[in-house]
Amino acid sequence: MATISVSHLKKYFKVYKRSSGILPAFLSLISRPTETVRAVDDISFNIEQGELVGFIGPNGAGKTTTLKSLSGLLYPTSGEIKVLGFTPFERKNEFLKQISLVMGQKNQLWWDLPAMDTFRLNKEMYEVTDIEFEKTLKELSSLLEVENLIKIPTRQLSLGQRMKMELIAALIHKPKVLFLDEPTIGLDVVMQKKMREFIKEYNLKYKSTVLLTSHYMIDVKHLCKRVIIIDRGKIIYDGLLSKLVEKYADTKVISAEFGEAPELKELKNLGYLKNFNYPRAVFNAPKPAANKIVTKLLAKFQIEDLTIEEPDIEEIIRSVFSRSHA
Amino acid sequence: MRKYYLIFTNSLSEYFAYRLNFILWRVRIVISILITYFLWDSVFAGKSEVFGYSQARMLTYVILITFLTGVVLSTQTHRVASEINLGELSKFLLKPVNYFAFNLSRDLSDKFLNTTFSIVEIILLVLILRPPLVVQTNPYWLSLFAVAIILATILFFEISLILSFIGFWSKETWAPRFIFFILITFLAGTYFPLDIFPKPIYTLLQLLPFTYIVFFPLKIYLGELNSPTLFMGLIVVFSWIIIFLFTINYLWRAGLKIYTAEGS
Repeated sequence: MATISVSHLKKYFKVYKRSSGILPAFLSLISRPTETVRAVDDISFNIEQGELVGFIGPNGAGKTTTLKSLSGLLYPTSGEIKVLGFTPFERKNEFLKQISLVMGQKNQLWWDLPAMDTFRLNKEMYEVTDIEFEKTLKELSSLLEVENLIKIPTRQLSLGQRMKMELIAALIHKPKVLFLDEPTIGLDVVMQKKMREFIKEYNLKYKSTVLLTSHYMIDVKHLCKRVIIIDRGKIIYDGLLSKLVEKYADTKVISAEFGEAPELKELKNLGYLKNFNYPRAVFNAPKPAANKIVTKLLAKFQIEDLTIEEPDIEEIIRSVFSRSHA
Repeated sequence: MRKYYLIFTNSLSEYFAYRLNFILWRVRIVISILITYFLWDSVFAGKSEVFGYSQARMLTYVILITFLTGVVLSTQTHRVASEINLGELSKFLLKPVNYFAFNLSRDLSDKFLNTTFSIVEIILLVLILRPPLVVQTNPYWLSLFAVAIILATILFFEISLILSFIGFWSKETWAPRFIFFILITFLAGTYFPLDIFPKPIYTLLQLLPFTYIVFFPLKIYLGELNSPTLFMGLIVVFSWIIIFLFTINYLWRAGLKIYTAEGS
């Protein structure tokens, strides 16, 4: 049985509409027209134990709504969700003890108290034994390099430090299923990289299932074999990231370095020239045309260096979205 | 059980991060008691009885309000409304913890601090002002007083929670709470005993929950309720507690279904 199974999940919200300005503000006292937002609109997928899946989509696509439904915060409008055999919304203790949801923009730490106080409380809530607690805390805090910060009040920590503490608080009970919503948001690149390594290590070490959303494609590229792409509440791709590249990357990026400056006109004649800035020219050509361009380049010009690559993953995703909007 | 103990101690430590706030809050309560105290003290000038109250009974009533405010009226449940609106409720929903027990533990820390302070304040006030007081020694009234305080605490906790649950349906939770507190000031007896109202109004008030938050326990302390009134009062307060319990349960279930975990 799949660890997470979602079938035909829908979550609609009612929101109040109001145009800006003072008159509509007054009118809203009398009647407030509502509008139904289909945050998640009939999605189905399964995730097996130990998988690390990336959940991607533009803002407002329904990623967070899905994660919240999976962790039992939201009552689905319709459809069925099973996580570890439980119906999340019932929020049974046995279920809650095995999951965790980390939201990059939310904190569970007690703001005025040192993180340690939150950890201790979580230890009791999740009924973690003393030995287990000491061990996990030591492991996590050394992995994240925050051993000396756990006694400082949360409000005095920097964003990155706080994020790490959030992670420890969320993992102290070693959840089998981990939902991460933008875990690297607002972190600098070095910290982002560390966070990524940590998530990967956690996934491997505890064989836990991780479902992660991120705006940073680099997170997804480094972490997830499988991605689910969602847009406007619907899944538009669910499968291996590598397959996504194969399927949607119908172009190749050719970049050539010239020994001596070529005529711009001649380059343009080759077609698909993306940009030229001596000594480098970049072509973005459909796969069939790519070979020809390379052959011509090598025949006509003095080439110092030449590379042929798949387009950037961000580029591919962008093209996937633009197709779904077309 | 230890988790609720830790919620209690964590909430206490949270207070110490805002010591000045807390001290000023206590100052506010003492000032308000002093105003009521001196008001009644001057009303009694030259009279032995006002509204059927002797000076000693009235001043005892006023001073004990401090104590009752500490035990019954201190609460953190107003935070529930903003927790719902800001989506912070999520962090409690995600954990294997009973949210009501959580709130109770958080409230107990609040009550513990405020009550401790109120006792110290009462001792100081009595030492400094040396007012004539009624000291209840009868164990019958004292134990009933304890029971009435517990009932009042439960009742107030429920009402305050219900007011916060409005947050599920509306962002505007302060207005209803504000109105409720105005009602409390006049109808619960935090400024004056309610039986100085004309008889018909007083009878009506006895059917409302407010009476049982402050006035009822204090009347019991003074040993001034006859058995039928006492019995009637206990039935009314019990009924309200049960009614509110069902209301809370209903609102909580209905609220969670439309809870949107906003704010991110």
